[in-house]
Amino acid sequence: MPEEEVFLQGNEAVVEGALRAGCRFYAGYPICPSTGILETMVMRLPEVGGTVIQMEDEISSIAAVIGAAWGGAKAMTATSGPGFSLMQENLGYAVITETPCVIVDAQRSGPSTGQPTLPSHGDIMQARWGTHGSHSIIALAPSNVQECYDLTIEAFNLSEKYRTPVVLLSDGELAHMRERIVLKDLPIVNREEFPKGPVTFPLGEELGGVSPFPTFGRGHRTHVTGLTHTIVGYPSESIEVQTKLLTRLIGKISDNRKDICKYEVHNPKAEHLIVAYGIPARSAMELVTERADIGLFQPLTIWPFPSKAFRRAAEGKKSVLVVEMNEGHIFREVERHACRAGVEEIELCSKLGGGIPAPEEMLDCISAMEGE
Amino acid sequence: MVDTIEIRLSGFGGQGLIMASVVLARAASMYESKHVVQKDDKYKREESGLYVVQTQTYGSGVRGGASRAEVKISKKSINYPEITTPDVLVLMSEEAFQKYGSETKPSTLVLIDPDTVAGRPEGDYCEIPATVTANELGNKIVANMVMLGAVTAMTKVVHPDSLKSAMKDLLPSETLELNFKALEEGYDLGKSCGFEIKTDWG
Amino acid sequence: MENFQIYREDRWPHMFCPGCGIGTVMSCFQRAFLNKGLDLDRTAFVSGIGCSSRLAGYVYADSLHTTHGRALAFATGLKLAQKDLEVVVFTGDGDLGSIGGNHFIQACRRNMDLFVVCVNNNNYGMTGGQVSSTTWHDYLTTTTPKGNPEYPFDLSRVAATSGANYVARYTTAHPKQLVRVIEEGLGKKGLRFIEAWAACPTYYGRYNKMASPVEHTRWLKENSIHIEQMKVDGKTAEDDIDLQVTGKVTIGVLRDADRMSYLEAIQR
Repeated sequence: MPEEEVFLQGNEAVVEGALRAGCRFYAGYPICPSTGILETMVMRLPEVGGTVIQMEDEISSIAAVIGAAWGGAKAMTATSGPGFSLMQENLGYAVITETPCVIVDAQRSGPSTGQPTLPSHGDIMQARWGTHGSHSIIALAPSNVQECYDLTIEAFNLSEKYRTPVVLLSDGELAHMRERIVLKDLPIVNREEFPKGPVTFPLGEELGGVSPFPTFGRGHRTHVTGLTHTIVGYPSESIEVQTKLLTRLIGKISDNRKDICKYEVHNPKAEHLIVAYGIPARSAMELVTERADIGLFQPLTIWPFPSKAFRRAAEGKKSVLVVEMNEGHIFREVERHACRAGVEEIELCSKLGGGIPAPEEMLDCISAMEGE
Repeated sequence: MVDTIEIRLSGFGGQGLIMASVVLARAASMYESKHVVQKDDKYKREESGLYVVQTQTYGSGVRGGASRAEVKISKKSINYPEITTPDVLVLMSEEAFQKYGSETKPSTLVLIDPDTVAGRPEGDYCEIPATVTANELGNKIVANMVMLGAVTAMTKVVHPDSLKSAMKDLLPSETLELNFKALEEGYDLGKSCGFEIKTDWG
Repeated sequence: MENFQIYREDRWPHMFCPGCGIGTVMSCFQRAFLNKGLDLDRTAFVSGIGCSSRLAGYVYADSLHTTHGRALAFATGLKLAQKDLEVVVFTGDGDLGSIGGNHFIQACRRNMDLFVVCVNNNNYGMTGGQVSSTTWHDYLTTTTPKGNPEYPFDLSRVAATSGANYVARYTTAHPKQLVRVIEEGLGKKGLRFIEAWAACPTYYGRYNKMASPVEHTRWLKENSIHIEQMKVDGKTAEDDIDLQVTGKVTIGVLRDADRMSYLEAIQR
């Protein structure tokens, strides 16, 4: 497809990315600040032959998305804070049933109803651990409108490749922000269809952790269940079966960090390293462009955390400052890896309250650290 | 001469300030100059175009509540997207005046709609009778474009033709004539004000 | 073997208790499905959580055994992604009437093109016999040891008044009639709702003095009244809305409409 330059809101860029990735089904429920995605989908998806439905809540929205995925569609939903809480139940269902789908959370400030139109990154840990049970998850965090487009495509690609739900963690600032972007012609990954005929032979570890997808209605006669299931999909109470299943489900993501994890490093030689994702990474860039002694490690993939890459970036640093619009969701993750990399000073620069951290606030955090 | 200009439009929901900001931002972003396509090297673009970020905040619901839109335009790539102290401050409600009226620097151009704002700032300001002018043109809904015209006249931040191109993209075609007229009236009002900000590119 | 025409033979024996009414409902469904000559490769089964929701896993077809109460929402997405696939939902009174209540009325309101079979055994069987939204007033369950202080939902009336195209209710004491309405419903569009009252001798029966399947089935028969008989008796729908007033549950085809289905509406 030809590349095109456009001026879009973050929410609109997510839609354009989804359409380029091949999304053909969308179900959602109105909630600030993600509503623009639903409204834009309603306009755009039918133009490419897709279907949109406004469901009765966020639980049913993600349920419909998973149903549509089994019907063969690339499918997506988007929500914000309270709706993301409601989606946790079926997010886990998508994990255990290995359903490719994309969930966008345009984060707002919580808990509960909180500040409906203001940004926050309070759902980072919820994306990781919000659904019950042992599992792995992929979550991506854009910091500008271009990345809203790029990472939505990436989210679809990863979900198709690894047969897993992928969470895109946008926020209230990005959702409504407008910037000029390029609708790039990026490579698109499509799920591998299960060979013709019924699902009868063993799947799973024998096939490298991710098995082809038996789309409904094509004679596979597959059984899909949220219960622990054997390699042919039948329910099982066996400890051995569950151990194998979880090991594979967790491993197919954790063991593929190298392929999954995207990040950026700026001013790699600087003595101070800021770790920031989403909007705060932009504030940090303001400093990085002005000061040679400040570098930035920006994970685009939050989960799984790009631990090896970070450790490389952290080695030899005088200090590491983690800037987050929450009370420190990736801080401990960063802290343990920075410790292992031998960094002595590791601090959190936390911004709560629905605002975004200004470059000056980060400088204050750095000064405070140096003053100690 | 500034290399970055920060513009804040504030008033109440329903005045179309967010639309005005989008028109301005789109004009600056898409119609101001030929520019090199932004490739992967996102933070280090060397070319002649303008970088633009438009942000907005609003209360729940749209009409009547406080509304604020911001546009940041620069020759350099824009990282931190928000405005701290604006170079141009448009005030179109008393609430906006109370809230943002003092968040200025000596060089800030303050534009006030005298029909919707009772208070006046301590420093210099310019009265742009946007609502009255729009009413005279036939519909107060175009007060936003009167203001936008005034801002453009005082900053030369974009060419009025760029604004018109952006308006064609964003507004219903049957309203264009009225909106263009409002823009031009506002431009004249802005020119007669006597204040200006010089940008690198204006 | 005729009995395994639509089942996964490799999953036998099934998990249901002796005397459970689910088997009867499933047999009725199989008969109707085969009578209609439908294709298992072009039919998908979706279910939620509960005893009846396990049915999806016994059918030799594509089947999605989902989360508690959400089957209709999953089925909605599946149907919209593959519009020519027949999507059948198996559910129960707890799954559909309690935790999934909103999805139920919304799917009916949309007249979504789904075929829904609800096995209503008036209690939560899988978790050991707790009160559900269709447990009768004053009846005993493990969570209403002094009798249920609440009143039950009439699921079929809810479906009909919410806009489902076709609504029919029978009990497992009426297998022939069940086959007939399932067959009839399968040939229609929009949301088709079949409510099958079923015996749960293990819990609801045991707690309420009808512990044997025969007693429970007799209870079903004695406590149901055909809608045509209601008319003969001069009773209206109002008379049976409160199950405890009449002490009877209305059976028969309760609604047979021709409202535009969701797919028809979006494909206009």
